[in-house]
Amino acid sequence: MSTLSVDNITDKSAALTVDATYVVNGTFKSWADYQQTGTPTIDASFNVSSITDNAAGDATVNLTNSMDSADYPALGMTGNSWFVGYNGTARTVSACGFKNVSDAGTPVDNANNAFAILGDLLV
Amino acid sequence: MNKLIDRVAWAKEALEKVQPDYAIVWEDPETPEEPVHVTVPSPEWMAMARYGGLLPPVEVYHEIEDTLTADGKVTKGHLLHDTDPVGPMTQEEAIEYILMKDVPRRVWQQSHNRQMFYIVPRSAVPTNRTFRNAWRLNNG
Repeated sequence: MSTLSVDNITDKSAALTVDATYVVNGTFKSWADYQQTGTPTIDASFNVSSITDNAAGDATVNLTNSMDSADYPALGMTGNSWFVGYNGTARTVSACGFKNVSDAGTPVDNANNAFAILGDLLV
Repeated sequence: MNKLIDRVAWAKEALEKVQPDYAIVWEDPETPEEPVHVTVPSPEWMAMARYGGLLPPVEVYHEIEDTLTADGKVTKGHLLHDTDPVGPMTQEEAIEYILMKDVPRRVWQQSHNRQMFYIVPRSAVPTNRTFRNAWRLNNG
């Protein structure tokens, strides 16, 4: 494997330049697209070892390569104008829980869920 | 590819995804009022497990967890990358690895007055979730 070692990345017009550390630090470190209807299934993922279906609308994503601390941002998305957030359990270096709720605040299952984690990997 | 994340990235591009044959259904003795949990490996992870030579021994994750600082910082992260990877696993060996990695140790390592987990074919997990929050383990 070869390594590209640069300080900055610039577009062809040289009008836009970004520090390479911005790219590294700003890249998602883990993501998944999963179903929580029928049998729980991960359709596609990166750096995810498994998903735990905890209850209706409630899931925990487990990471293959852990984060370097439990202080990382995580983003979630689900369907039908529902909301997704932390499921109330503590984030750890290797797992993060999500919960989908309806407008009325009721946990709901969804066939299309996605999450992504930013922050620093354990390297 | 010394870093685990490099192996993860390589596998994502090079290996065909493998949907798991099995799931783990389990209850947490610390929260017995909660419904049963169902843990399913990711197809990308299962491909890595079946291929071999990519994943660290599961005990590495335990040692990292056991040596966190009081404020949750990792002190032995190098083990994730430097420990020799394990060889190819069968689907059965892989689901046992996931049990030990992603299910709390109190579930499978401690003795209880009843079985707290089962490894089952994924097809045995109910697909009708109308009463999902009432699911419990059937210990016969």
